[in-house]
Amino acid sequence: MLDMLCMIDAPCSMEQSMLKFIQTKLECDSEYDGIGNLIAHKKGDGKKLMFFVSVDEDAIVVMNRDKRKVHFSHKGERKINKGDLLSFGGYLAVAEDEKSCTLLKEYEINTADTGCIYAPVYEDEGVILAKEAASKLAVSAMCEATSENSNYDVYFVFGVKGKMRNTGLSAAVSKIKPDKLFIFEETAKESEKLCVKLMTKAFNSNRELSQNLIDKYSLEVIINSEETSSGAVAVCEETAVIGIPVENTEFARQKANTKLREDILNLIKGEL
Amino acid sequence: MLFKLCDENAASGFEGQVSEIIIKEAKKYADKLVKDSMGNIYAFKKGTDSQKTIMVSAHMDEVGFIISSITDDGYLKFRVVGGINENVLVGKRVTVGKNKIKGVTGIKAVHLMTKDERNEKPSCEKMYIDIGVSSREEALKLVNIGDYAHFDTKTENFGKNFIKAKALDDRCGCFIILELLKKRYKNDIYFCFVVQEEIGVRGATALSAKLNPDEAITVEGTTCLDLPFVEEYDKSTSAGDGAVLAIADSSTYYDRDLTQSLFECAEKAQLKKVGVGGTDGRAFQLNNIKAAAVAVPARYIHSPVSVVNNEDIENTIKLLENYLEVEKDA
Repeated sequence: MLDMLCMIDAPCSMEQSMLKFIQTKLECDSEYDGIGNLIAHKKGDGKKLMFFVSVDEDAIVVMNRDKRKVHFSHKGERKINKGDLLSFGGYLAVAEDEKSCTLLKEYEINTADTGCIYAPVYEDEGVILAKEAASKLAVSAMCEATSENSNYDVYFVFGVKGKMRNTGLSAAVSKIKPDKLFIFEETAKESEKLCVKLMTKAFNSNRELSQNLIDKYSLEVIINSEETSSGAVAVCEETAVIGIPVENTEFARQKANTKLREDILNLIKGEL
Repeated sequence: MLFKLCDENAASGFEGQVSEIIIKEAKKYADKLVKDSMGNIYAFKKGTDSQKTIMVSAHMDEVGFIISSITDDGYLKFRVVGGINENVLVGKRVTVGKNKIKGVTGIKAVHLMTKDERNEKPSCEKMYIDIGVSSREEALKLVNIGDYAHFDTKTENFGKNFIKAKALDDRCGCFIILELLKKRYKNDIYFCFVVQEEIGVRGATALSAKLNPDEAITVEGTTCLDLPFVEEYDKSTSAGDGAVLAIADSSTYYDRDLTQSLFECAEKAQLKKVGVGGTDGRAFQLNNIKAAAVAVPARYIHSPVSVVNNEDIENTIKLLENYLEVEKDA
C-alpha cells in the first residue's frame, strides 16, 4: 500500500484521488465531511479519540499561461529549483524558478489548474524517498489500524488542505470535538524513533498525555521554538503531536525509515 | 442603494449605521430577519423545493481608523483598523465620529523633513488628524478617544460604466445580496451581512457556526491590478472581465466542485487564484462548511477610493441568481 500511496498526487485542495484510494483500504465506515476530510469512524461508547494526518502536498496553481510558458503560485514549504519537474495532471513542465515553468509541449493547461512537484518514489532496504514521506507512513499505519477494536469512540481522519494553514485539521476538530487528539506530522529532528513535540512555535502539547506517550513508547522529545506544528490550530485540550523524523524537509522528497510505520501502528494500537 | 451604502461609515466594530440601511431594505423581502448580539444580520427566505441550505454572505465593515489620543494642541492621534497601507494615508480627507467631523490626515511637510525622514516609510505613529481646532478642550467638544474615523469619499459614476467610492470592499457585496434578496429561490437561503471581517473574519465565524448551512458563498470585492505597466501574470483579476470565482487566496483554498458549479452559471466570469488577503470563506471552512468566493474586481481596495465596473456587479448578480435558482419574484 505504501508504494501506491507514494505514486498518487495530492496537491492541496485536490486530494480526492488520494482519499478515494485510502477509502478502499479502510476496515470501517467512512464519510467525507463538509470540506472534504475523509473520516473513518469506529463507534464505541467511551471517550472520543481522534487520530489525524494531512494527506496533501505542495500545490502549484497556474496564474497565467502564454504558449508553453506558465506562471504559477506555489503553496507549501518545499523548494522549487530551476530544472525541477512539475506535473499538471500528468502534463510535465520544467521549472525556471520559484514562479514560472516551461511546458514540455503545448498541453491544454488553463489558469487555475493545479499541479504539484513531480518526484518519483524510491524505496529500498528499509528506506523510502518520497513526497510527504512522513504523511504516507502515517496514512498506511492508520488504514491498518481501522481493523482494530477499541472501547473508545475512535475517528481516523485523513485531512485535506493541511498546507493551507491546517484548514482540514481545524475543521475536523470543530466537527468531531474529540476528547483526545493525536496528530501525526513530520519533524526535521534527527532520530530513529518517533518523537513527541512537547513545545514548538505557538504550540504546547498536553503535558500529561505527551509524557504518557514518551514513557510508554520510548519516544524522543522535541522542545524547539523554531519547529512548527499543526497542533497550534487544534482546539482540543488533550492534544499530542507525534513527529515522524525525516530528512530533507526543504526538498520535494523526504527520506524516512519505513520501520517507523510499525512504530506508528503500535502506538495507535496501544492507545486504542 | 450602492451609493448610499458606500457613503455611510462602518469601520470594523462600528457597523451600526450601515446595518440600519440594510435592515430597512431587507425587511421588505425577508421571511425572517435577525440581528445577533455581535451585530451580524441574516435574512432568511424559505425555498420552494428546498434540497439544501445555502448561506450567501457579505461583510458590512470597512477599513478605517480609531482615535487613540488627543494632543494638547487638539490634534488626533490614531491607529488603523484593518489592513491599510500607510503609504496611502498622508493628506487625506476623513470624517471622525458619529457626527462626521471633517478632518485631514497630516504629517510634517516634505520641505521640513530631514533626508532620513524623507526616506522613511510613512507611519501612522507620526501622523495625526487635523480637525481645525487649537486645543484638546476644543477637540473634546467634537470627538472622543475611541471614536472611529473614515475616509471622506463621495461615491460617483465616472468613465465608461465605472464607479468610484470608498469601501467597495465589501459594500458591493452587500448591495449584491440585497438585490438577490428581492427574489425567491428553490432552496432555503440565508442572506447574511456580517461584521468584523477586516480584523479577522469574526462575524462570519460566529454566524456560520450558528446557521450551519450546507454551503456558504462569500460575496466580496477583490484585488484587481489590470494596469498597463503590470505584467499579465501579475494582474490578479481584470475589471470588466466579469465576476471572479476564486480558486484560492492567501488563507483559503475554496471548494473546487462548488466553485466549478458557480463558474458554469456565469455568462462572464474569471476563474482566478487571487493574491494576498483572505475572506470570510476561511471562517466557513473552519466551521466545516463547504465554501466558495464570488467577487467583483475592485481596483485600489483598502485605500481612500476604489473602483469597480458596473457590468461586473451585474454579472455577479446574474451568476448568483442562476446558481441559487430563481423561482419567481418576491
